[in-house]
Amino acid sequence: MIAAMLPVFVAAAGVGIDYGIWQREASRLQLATDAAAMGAGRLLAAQTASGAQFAAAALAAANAVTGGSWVGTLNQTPNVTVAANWSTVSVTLTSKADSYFSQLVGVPAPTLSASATSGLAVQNTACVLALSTSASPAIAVNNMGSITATGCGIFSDSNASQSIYLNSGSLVAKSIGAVGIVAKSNSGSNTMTPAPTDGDAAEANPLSNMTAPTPGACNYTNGNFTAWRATPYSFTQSANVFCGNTTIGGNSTTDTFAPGTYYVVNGSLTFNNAVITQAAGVSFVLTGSTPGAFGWTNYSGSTTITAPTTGPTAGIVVWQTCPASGSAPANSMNGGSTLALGGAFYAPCGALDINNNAKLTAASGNTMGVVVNSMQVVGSGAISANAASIGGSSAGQLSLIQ
Amino acid sequence: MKSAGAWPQRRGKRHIRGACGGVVSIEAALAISLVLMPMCLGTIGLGMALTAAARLDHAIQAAAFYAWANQGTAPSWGAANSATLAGAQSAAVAAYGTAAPAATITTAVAFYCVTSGYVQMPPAVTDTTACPAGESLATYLTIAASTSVTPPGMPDATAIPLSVTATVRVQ
Repeated sequence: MIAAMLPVFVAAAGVGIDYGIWQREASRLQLATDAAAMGAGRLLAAQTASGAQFAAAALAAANAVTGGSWVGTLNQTPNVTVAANWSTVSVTLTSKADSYFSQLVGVPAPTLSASATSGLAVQNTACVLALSTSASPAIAVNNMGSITATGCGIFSDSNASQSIYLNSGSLVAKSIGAVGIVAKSNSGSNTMTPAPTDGDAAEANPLSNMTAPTPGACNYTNGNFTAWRATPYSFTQSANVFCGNTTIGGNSTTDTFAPGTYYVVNGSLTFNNAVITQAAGVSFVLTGSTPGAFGWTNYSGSTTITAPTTGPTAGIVVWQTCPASGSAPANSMNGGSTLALGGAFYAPCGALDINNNAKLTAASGNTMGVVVNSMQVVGSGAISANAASIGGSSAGQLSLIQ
Repeated sequence: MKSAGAWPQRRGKRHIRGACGGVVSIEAALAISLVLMPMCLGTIGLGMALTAAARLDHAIQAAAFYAWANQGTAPSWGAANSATLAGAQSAAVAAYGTAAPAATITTAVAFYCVTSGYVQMPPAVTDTTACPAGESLATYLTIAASTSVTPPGMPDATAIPLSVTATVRVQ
């Protein structure tokens, strides 16, 4: 009896041992596939690799992580699929499991398979970005208004059915997209290049990791720097905190701003026919519990303001902070002048309205981006942005997705 | 009426049956002691080894995942990211757990000159400034984990050594 059953015991034990080995090989094959996906994923950012190069990189990474042991006989031709937009790469590895005992009793070794996907973290593409998640429209371009984004995108995070709305205007960018829908009127004078994409993933606020600096004590209260004077109003960092509504410009008097940060606390900052002759390395921060709006009303000429390159406001020319309510008053530009910025216009809780031939553009030799809650450009107003990246964002980090 | 000759015949069958029973007992004793018991102990030992190996694999996996999630950006990854190196080791140790048998887990940085078409690991390099033309410097994290398993009822000298090594690219 025992002698008769002994082969059965031995066979059962052998199959059991092989089954345990197959389980381990399957587990290690999954690790190899994870490494393969990460290895192949390294080629995503360049957007130039061929399918063969992706496969080679995947295989190399798989071999490195396992040393070729305890994964069975690995198929040397991994199945690699790269997303059309170069955002992800999926790898499937297969192997023939090792068989030590089971084949003696006619149990075939299984074919093991594992899949993994790696991808680059979502990277912002927009230099004109509306952060509102519900405004309708979050970006409105009407009556010969225009937004041009050179080398970058126009994007709205709003999920509205008119997330971006174009009516007799122009949208020209590297890409145009929205979480919701990009809509346009039937106007024959609409220009939208390239074709927009709807239902995209939201783009993150590229400046969200920055914290606005805190102003000191007030140097001016409800300042009005409009009266004529023979010498410029020269603002320096020794008195850089304006409390309440502040108006600058007019009456043919010039204004200069020494490099640094200028705060407007709980009030608006209005430039009215200002003639700014010096404003390099300058940030205007509208802050406080109830930050006011930035207003620009000039009727001719061009004014250049560039942001600091270092410090807490680096890269930002105008920064309207968010109040506790989450809603800040609308910023505006009016009149036929050009405001050329070297840096970002940043109002995460406020709108930006550009009207009546006012133009917001990049200063010569600089980059400019707009990150606001919502915006409208009307009446031949224009935004011409060109920031390849806002906030110094770099290529997205590679990570395993599944 | 019973036959007078039936008695010896029945007695002989009992004798044979008794003799067979003894043979079966001896056969069973031999089979159990020489075959089944070693087979059971061996299977248990192999199971213990596979379990320990799976724990080592788990530790390696944890270290690899940690390294992938905390990749450095500086060219000299190892020097600039010693915290990541230590973190990967900690992750592996935690994943392995504290149950016996104890394991030795180490992490190290290795540099390789690679091309986009390679499928096997080239020899490691120590000069991180001089890769041949067409090759670029790649930084890898090497994780080594080892332990040993002594099958039940066996002396320590029969311990089964187990080791797993993995190399993952981190930059």
